[in-house]
Amino acid sequence: MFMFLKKTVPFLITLGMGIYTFAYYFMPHRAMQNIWDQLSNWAIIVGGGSMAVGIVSMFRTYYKRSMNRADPNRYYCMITLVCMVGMAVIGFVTGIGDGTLFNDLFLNVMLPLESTMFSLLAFYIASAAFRSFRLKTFSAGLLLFAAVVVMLAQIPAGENISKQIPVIAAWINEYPNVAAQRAIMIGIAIGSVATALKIILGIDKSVFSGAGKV
Amino acid sequence: MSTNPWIWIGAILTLLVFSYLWKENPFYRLAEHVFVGISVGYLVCITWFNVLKPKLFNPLIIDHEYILIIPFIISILMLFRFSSKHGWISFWPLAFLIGFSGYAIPASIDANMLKQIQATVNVSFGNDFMSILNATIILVGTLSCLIYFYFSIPHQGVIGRVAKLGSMLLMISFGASFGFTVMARISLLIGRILFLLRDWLGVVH
Repeated sequence: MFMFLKKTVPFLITLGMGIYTFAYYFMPHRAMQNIWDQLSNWAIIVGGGSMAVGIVSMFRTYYKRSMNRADPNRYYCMITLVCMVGMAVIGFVTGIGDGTLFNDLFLNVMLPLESTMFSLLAFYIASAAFRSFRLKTFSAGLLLFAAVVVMLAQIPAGENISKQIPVIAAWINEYPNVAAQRAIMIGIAIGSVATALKIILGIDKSVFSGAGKV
Repeated sequence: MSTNPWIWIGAILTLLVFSYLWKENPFYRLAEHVFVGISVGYLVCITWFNVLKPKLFNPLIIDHEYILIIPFIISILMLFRFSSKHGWISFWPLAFLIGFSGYAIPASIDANMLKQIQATVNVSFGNDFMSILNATIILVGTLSCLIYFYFSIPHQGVIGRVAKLGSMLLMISFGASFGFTVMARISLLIGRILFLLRDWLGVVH
């Protein structure tokens, strides 16, 4: 009975939901549509509720590290916890609309931090490119050529060097890039279909594991 | 120089993050942990106000739609994941969510496979040299890239040469993607420097 509840019931739920959602794609009947609307609404609620797992897990981890005197990062963990709880409490008290303290914190603390973190990558991506784009092979040369042309085409200096640079960049994007991206998309589609089938048919059961370890 | 305290907070945090360019230091780590904490707190509130409140709490409590007790219970079952003894109960809500991948099978075949193949084989060759060349690149290029990804046969002889052509097109594509990524990051960097010089210090107008 225990193995039935632990293994068979999740498999049956996945199989049933998988068959129904697969069939719904081909049968947009009103009855099917009503069930779909209900289930997809439930899925959004369950997805939102499942975020609690992540929050509780993060809180537990950071709280343990904050209380561990031997952990050299305990004060940073405390800062994370204070910011997390503080932001959540402010949001629940003031609401999230325009002009609230929550929105001010989002605009003046979170957004600057986020965009500065991502802008840091400009330096590291350039230094990584310097090391990896050395003209060792013909393929590396093609990669370097495409990257340089696309970058030059987006700044005024590119057009000043040659009027052809934006034209070549547009051609690279419209033809060789489209051909490669199409092949990648077809590959992703084949892979995602195979993975979905493996999970729905119960061939891959690895998704139903790891409980009690968070 | 700005007198707005929010601008000062944004500028100081920006400088703390930029301090990482020198080396990893406590100021950067402080900013990093503030960012993580604020982001998670933000996500909690957004999920509550945009998802759980309008879709679960209000309809259940105010409109008495008691059918919503079912997804509420399913959500609660997810918390059993922390139990080493009863953790298996969390597989049920997980199975409910994973089951939706059944919809992805026909949707993915339709949008990412059939539509892409259709657009590739229906490419217009035209009359001039460039149109024929461009159409050939699309047709032969897509096919050669697919052959490059096909590992069930050894890449030797004709197959090897076609796969080589595919790898070259992939390199061009990766180069273009890299160029766009670098430029996006640089525009973010320009935005941050402009914020410091214009909004904070007021030396640029």
